[in-house]
Amino acid sequence: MLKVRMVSKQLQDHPVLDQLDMEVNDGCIYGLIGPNGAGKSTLLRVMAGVYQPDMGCVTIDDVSIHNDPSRLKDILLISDDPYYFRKASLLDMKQFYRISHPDFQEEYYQKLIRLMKLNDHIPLDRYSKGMKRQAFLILGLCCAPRYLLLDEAFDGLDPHMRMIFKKEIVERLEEKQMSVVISSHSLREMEEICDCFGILENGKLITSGSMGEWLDTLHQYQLAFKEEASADMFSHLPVLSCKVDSRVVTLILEGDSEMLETELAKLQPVLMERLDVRLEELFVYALQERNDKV
Amino acid sequence: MNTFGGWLFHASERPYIKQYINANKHLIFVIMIFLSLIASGSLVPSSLVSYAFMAFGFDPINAYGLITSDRSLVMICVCMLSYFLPIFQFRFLMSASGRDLYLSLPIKRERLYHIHYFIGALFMGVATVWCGVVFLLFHPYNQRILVSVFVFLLFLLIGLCLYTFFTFLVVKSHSLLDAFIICMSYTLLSMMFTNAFQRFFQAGAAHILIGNGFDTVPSHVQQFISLLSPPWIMFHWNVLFLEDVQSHLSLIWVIVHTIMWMVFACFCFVYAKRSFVRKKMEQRKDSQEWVTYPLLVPMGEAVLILGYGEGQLCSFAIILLFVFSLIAHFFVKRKIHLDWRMPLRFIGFVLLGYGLMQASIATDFFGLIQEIPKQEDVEMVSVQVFDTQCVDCSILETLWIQDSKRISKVMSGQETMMKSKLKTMDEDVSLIVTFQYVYHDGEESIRSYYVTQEQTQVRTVLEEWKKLGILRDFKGVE
Repeated sequence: MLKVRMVSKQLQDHPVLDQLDMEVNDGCIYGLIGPNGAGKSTLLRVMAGVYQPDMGCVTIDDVSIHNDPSRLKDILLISDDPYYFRKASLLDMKQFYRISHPDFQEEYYQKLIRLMKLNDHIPLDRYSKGMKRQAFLILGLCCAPRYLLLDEAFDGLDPHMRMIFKKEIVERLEEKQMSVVISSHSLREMEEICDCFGILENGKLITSGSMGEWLDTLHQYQLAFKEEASADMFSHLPVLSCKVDSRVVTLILEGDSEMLETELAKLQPVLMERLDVRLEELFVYALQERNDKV
Repeated sequence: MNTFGGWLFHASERPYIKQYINANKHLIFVIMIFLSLIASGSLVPSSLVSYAFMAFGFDPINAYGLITSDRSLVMICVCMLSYFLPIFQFRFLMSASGRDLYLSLPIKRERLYHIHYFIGALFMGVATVWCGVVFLLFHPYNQRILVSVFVFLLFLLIGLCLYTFFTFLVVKSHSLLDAFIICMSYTLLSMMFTNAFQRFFQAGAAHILIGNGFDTVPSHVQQFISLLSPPWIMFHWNVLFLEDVQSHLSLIWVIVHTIMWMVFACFCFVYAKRSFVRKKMEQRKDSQEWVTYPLLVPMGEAVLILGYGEGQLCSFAIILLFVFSLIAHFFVKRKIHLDWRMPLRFIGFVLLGYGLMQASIATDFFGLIQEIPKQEDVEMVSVQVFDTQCVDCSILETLWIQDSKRISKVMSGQETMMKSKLKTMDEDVSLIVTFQYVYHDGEESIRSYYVTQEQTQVRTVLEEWKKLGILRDFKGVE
C-alpha cells in the first residue's frame, strides 16, 4: 500500500501541502480532484520522490521512499508535460523507461502502438500535444509499475482516445494488479473510471473514500410544489445541498433512500424525481461546505 | 561491490549509462569530427591562427612558435568543452519536466550526480586525448612530441578542473539561461578583473608620476590576479616552452596555479555533489544562490566602477553604469522592482572607487610604483634626451648602460630631473628626458620628465653624462 503520512510541503514560502494523509490501496484507481492550485501536482511529485517533503513521509509497504530510493522502481510519474530528450523518438524513450522498469511489456507496447497508429520512429517533437500524451500514457501502461501516477492524464486527448485509454487502464489494472492515481479536472471521466477519490483543497484532503460507497449514501431529488417553496421546509432532513427555484427544489440528501423518500412524500410535492448524483456535484458541494465552515 | 568501469559506476547503472551514451551518439560523433578538424588544422587556416596568436604578443614564425599557436586552438576547444559539457550533462535540472523524469528514477541522487559528472569527465578525457593524437599526427615535429604530450595532459587536467568548477555553477543555477550566463560571467569576469586592475593601476600610476612617466603592473601582481582564470594557466603552460617568453613566466607560479585549481576543483566536486543531493527542485526559477547572481552582480559593478571608471567617474559615466546595473538587477529579479539596497550599493562602490584611488595615490599605489628604482634591481638603463626647440640637434641616446657606476650616475641624474620637472608640457619645456630601465627579472619601466635647459642643475647633469659617455653627440648641451 502507498501511504502519504502527514506530509507538509512549502513552495516559495507558501504552504502547498499541509499535514496531508492519504492511502492508495493496491489495485485501485484513485482520482485526485481539486481546484487549480490545490496542490495535486505537488502531491504527485512528493509521492514520486521528486520533491522531498518538509514534514512527513511517503511509504510503500511501510518503507519510506525517501530513505530507500530503490522503492521508486514501484512508482512511475507521468507528468502533465512529460520530458523527452532532444530529437528522441518514442522508441528512444521506451529504451530509457525500460532501464528503470525491466518488466516492460513489449507485446502490449506493440499492440497499443498499432491501436493508436503512432509511428514510434519519428522524433517526439513532431507529435501533436495529444499524440505526445498518448505516447507517454502507452509508456506508463507498458512499464506496469505498481503505482502509476498520472498528472492531468487525459489532457489533449480526443474523446475516442480517452475512451480507449480508460478501457486500457481498467484492463491493465486487472491483469497486473497496478494502482493508478489520476489527477484531472475532468470529473465526468474520473467518475467513470475511479474506485476511490480524494478532494484536495488548500493542501489538505478534505474528503476521500470509495466512490461507490459515497455515492450510495448520497441521493439527489428534484421536487415540484403547487406553491412557492423555501429551504426551511427541509430543515428536518440531512440536507447537503438545496437549490430553490420558485416552486422547484433540487436537493442532495445523505442517508437511507427509502426513509428520505418517505419524509419527502410527507411534504406533498406534485412531482418527485430521483436523479443521479454526479462527482461534479459532490466536488462543488464539498468545496462549498468547506468554504462555509471557513 | 559489483562494479564496471572501476570505482566510477555500479554494475546496476550500466544500462542507464549505455542508454545515455547511445542517445547522444550522434552528438558525440559530430563533436569528435569537429575536434579532429580543429586539431588537424584543417578547419582554421594556420595563417589565421598565427595572426590571432600574434595578438597575444608572441611570434609564431618559427616551428616552435607555430606548433604553440596551433595547440592554442585545441586549448580553446578544451575550454569550450569544459564550459558546455556541464550544462549539457545537468540540463535536466533546468526544467520541471526533466526533474520529474530523472529524480523519480530509482537511483540515489548521489549516484545520479556521479553518473552524469563522470560521463562528462570521461568524454572530456577521451576528446582531449583524441585531439592530442590527431594533433601529433598532423604536426609531426618529432623533437617536440614529448612537450606536446605533456602540454595536452596538462590541458586535460586543467580542463577537468574547469569542468568541475562549471558543474558546481550549473548545479547552483535554476534555468538553462542562468547556467549559460553564470558560467560565462565567471569566465569573462576573471578576464575583466585582470584588465580592470591594469587600467586602475595605470590610471593611478599616471597620477603618481604626474604625467611624466608610466608604469605597467608588476608581473608578480599580474600573475597573482591570473589565479582567477584556468584558461590563462593553460595558456601559460602552452607557451612556457617558448624561449622568448620564458623570462616573463615563472614556472613556480604556473605550478602553484595548477595545484591551486586542482584543490579548488576537488572542493567544487564535493560541494556540487552536496548541492545536487540537497537541491530543492521546487526552488524559484531565478538563481539566488550566493555564488550566482548575488555575487556576480556586485562583482561586475565593482569591476566596471573601479576598473573602467578608474576611480574618477564623470557624471555621465556614473549614470550609464547605473543604468547597466539597474538592467542587471531587474534581470536577476525577473521583475522591474527597485530594491533600495541596490542604489546604496552602487553609491558605495563609486565612493569606494574614489577613496581607493586617493589612497593609491597617497601610498604610491601601495608601494608597487617606485619612481626611482632600487639600483640592485636594475640590469641596464638607457637615457634619451629630446630637445623640443632644436629640430636638427634632437639626438636620442640609445646605448644600454650596464655598469653599476654609470647606472648610479644615471639614477642620481634622474633624481635631479624629478626635482626639476615641470608638471605639464608648456612653452618653457625644451627637453624631454626619458629613462628606460630593464630589471633582472625581465620587467621594464619608463620614466619621462619635462625640464628646461635654463635650470643649472639640469645642465650640470647633462654635461656630466656627456663626460661619462652616457650621452653621446648631444649638441644641445654644447
